Amino acid sequence: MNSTIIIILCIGVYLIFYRLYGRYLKRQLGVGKRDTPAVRLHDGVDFVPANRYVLFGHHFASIAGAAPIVGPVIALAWGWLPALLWIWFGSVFIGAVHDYLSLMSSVRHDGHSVQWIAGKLIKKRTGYIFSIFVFFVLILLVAAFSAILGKIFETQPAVATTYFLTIIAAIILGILLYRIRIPFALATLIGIFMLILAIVLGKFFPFKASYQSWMIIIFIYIIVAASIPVNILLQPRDYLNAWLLVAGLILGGLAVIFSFTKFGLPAFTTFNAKVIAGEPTPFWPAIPLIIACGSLSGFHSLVASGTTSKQLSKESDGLFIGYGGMLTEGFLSTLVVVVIAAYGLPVLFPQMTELSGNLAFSHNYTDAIKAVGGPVGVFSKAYAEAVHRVFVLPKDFMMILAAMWVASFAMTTLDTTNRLARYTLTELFEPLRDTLGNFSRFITNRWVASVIPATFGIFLAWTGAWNILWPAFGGANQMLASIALLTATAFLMRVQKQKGLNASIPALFLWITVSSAMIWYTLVAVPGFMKTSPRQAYVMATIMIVMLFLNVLLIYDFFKQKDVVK
Amino acid sequence: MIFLNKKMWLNRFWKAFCLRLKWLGEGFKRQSTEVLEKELEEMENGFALLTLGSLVGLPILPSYTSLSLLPYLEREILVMLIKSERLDDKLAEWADLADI
Amino acid sequence: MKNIFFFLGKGGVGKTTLSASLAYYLSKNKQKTYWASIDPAHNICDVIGCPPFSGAKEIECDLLAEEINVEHYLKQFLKEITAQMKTIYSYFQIINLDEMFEVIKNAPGMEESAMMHALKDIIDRHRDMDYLIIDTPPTGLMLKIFTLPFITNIWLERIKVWRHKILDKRTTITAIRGKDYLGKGIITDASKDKVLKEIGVQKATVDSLIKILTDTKKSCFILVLNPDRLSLMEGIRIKKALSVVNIHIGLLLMNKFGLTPLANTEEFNHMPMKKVPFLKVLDKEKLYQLADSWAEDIIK
Repeated sequence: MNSTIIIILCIGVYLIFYRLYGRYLKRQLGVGKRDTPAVRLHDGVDFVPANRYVLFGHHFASIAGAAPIVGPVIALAWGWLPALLWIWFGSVFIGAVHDYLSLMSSVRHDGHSVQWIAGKLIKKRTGYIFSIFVFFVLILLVAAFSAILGKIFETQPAVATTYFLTIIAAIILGILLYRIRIPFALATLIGIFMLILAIVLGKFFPFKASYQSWMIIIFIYIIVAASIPVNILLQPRDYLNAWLLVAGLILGGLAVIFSFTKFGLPAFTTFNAKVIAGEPTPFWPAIPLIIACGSLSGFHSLVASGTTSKQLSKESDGLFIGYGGMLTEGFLSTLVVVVIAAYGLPVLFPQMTELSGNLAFSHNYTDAIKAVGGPVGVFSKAYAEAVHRVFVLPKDFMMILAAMWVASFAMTTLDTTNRLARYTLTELFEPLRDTLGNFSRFITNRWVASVIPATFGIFLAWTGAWNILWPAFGGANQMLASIALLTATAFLMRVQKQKGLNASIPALFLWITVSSAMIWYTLVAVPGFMKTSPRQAYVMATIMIVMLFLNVLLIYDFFKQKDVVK
Repeated sequence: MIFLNKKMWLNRFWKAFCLRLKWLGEGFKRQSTEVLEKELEEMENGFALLTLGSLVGLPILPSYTSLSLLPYLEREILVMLIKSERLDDKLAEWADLADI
Repeated sequence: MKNIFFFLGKGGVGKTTLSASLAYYLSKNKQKTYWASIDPAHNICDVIGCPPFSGAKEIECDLLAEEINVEHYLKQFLKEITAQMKTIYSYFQIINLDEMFEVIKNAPGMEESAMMHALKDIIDRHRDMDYLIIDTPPTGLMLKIFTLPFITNIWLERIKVWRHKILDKRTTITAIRGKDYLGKGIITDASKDKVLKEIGVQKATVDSLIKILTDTKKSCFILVLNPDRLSLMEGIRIKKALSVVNIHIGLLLMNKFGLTPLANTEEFNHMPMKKVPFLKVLDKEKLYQLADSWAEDIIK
């Protein structure tokens, strides 16, 4: 199979479904001339209609991150075909629909969030359950991303240096742009120049440290960065990340389109490849836990129903932004799969010139990844190879660029997560304020609330077991998607008075899949975890069991409310 | 005749392309100030809460000074009123920062 | 203006009486004197024995007396604000403006704020007089009025800083996104901000008042005491409270001396104290004589 063919196929599939299925979705929702909240409730503060392309850029930048890259790498143990099929069809039928319906139901509810709508359409405690899931997502996010970052920093010290240098670059850019206020274009050029410089310097001055040291550094970073004013680090770094995303996407995309390289990796290895915790993992139901953001991600419902829905200027723009945005992320994940499938073999098994056997491949895949620096290591090396083949740019620098792409987004997520966790904890303890007064005040104290998710996250990440932590994060994320899809179903059926099978079937399918996956995880992966790190395993088991219980409560509430007409 | 059409078509295509680039540029600019804007709103909200919190039910009684500032705080009061209406739905507003 | 005299003390110690005596003494000595009471329980009329009057009245040659009507200042202030709001606010209507202000008028803190501004106004208006004599309310309200400028100053400082931060952030954003990005007419420049200007105006009032009150060459605080223990204890508390905001007592007048045994005055050992006998009859001549023993020194 040829890399270029797959990319063209991907674009083709997405375009067809965007046009045809999109049209159906629009009709189902009755998308028409109705005024959006941005127009109706225009206040110049939160509700401001935005140009569809600008809003697309904002929305896509918000949902794109490190996750659509890391997931597919891990999933390749099953072969590239299953991964692609999930990315394409999971996205088209479930993921993009999820994003689109979250956006539109928010638009139809005056820009309120999916959490709020769930509370209104299903049951009040559904909104509360949503918060609990968000909190778990945040902890597991810290765990999974820290582990991934620690791995790449340990194995490729050049990336670590570049990362530090980009933090400095961001701070300098912040001063130039926000304090001294030099012209925007000039500042941008300086910023990009500093990025390039950071990449070059990284190669020549690698910073070596052990995995545990990185865990501590990341822990301190999360606490500190979440507390400093946003214009110093967070805002300028967000801006630089946007350029990093564009550069990575364009270089990678063009490199792959013009690559015409045969795939070295197997199309399909086995249904039970060794993915999670080194145990044979069934492709179904585990795949949504591995490839989340590239195909379906619950967190996107918050993004879509947060600022995006309040800035949609026409209802018809919703398809482009909600559905189209997710498909674009799917394209990104497809790129990752193709890059590794085409160029990954020499990276993973430098000795092999040709694949010895599919089964052998899947058995050794996870170990091979570990040796190269985890998922980020594999991706960045394969990416470097791809870009080098087409643009003849030096491999070392391209590798650092690719790794930076992931690392920069991951670090942004980490310190923002902390702020969100603080808020979520306050939300969670609000009803308990009367009964548990002092305790609740203690927990929601700014510093305590900062330390809690960081501590649990790093505690879990300390084990270095990213192949156990990543699916847990994916699982929690898909729990959010469950709620969002169930809410969208409720919206279609109760408010729009539609049959809504195209929402209810994916919603129930997702619910069954994720529940089964998590049960599997608790019964198979956690005991495996127990052998190496018992304490962490207990924490994980607790989180899983709580989530499973809440999941059952969720579906019960959903069906119970079915008879009640709005 | 055909030559003219081609030229027109190319022209239109070029214009459309430049427009898309302009929007992309605006998107980048947005990315460079989004968080600052959110922070600014919260600060303006805070200022109004401090000086005239009684307008949204906070037991902060307006002082002599607060009242003397009242004529000039239109935007801040507006932001305060807008923010206090959505106090029960704040989580999603910050979700897009996380890049998950 | 040569000096301002403030008469402080516990209720009933004789503030108004002694301020009256000083007023007569000064005016007799051809000094243009303005004598006012900011005590809501106006006693001037009682002391000089005339029917209540409003505004400044010339009760003697070179002597103007006035019972300050704080309510009037408050009403004036609220009227100004209302008028300004109606012209400046373009976006939303505040319904029933008058009703809102009727309620705010009685907000705790509003009265003493108005008093503070009234005080400033008096001082400004009578700069051409030689001496100002101010009779203050009993301790509680008096302390509030005199500490208010300092508290207000701190408050104004803080919101000034906050306001600067807001303007700074607005400038940063509009520099990148465009001049009218946050809305038409939204101020980003500190020099054009009306809020800062108003804060500045308030601060100027407060600053000048603080300067006057803490300058011992400009204002003299006369603490009136009675020989009994309660009066002395309260006097100590007044002294301490005022010294926190840098206001220092210039003279102690032990009024109604001889009426009761003198309690311990250790706390006031290092301060100038004059003893004043109990005045049995309130008349102009007697009041003038009363000031003889102590007024001569403080005029120098």
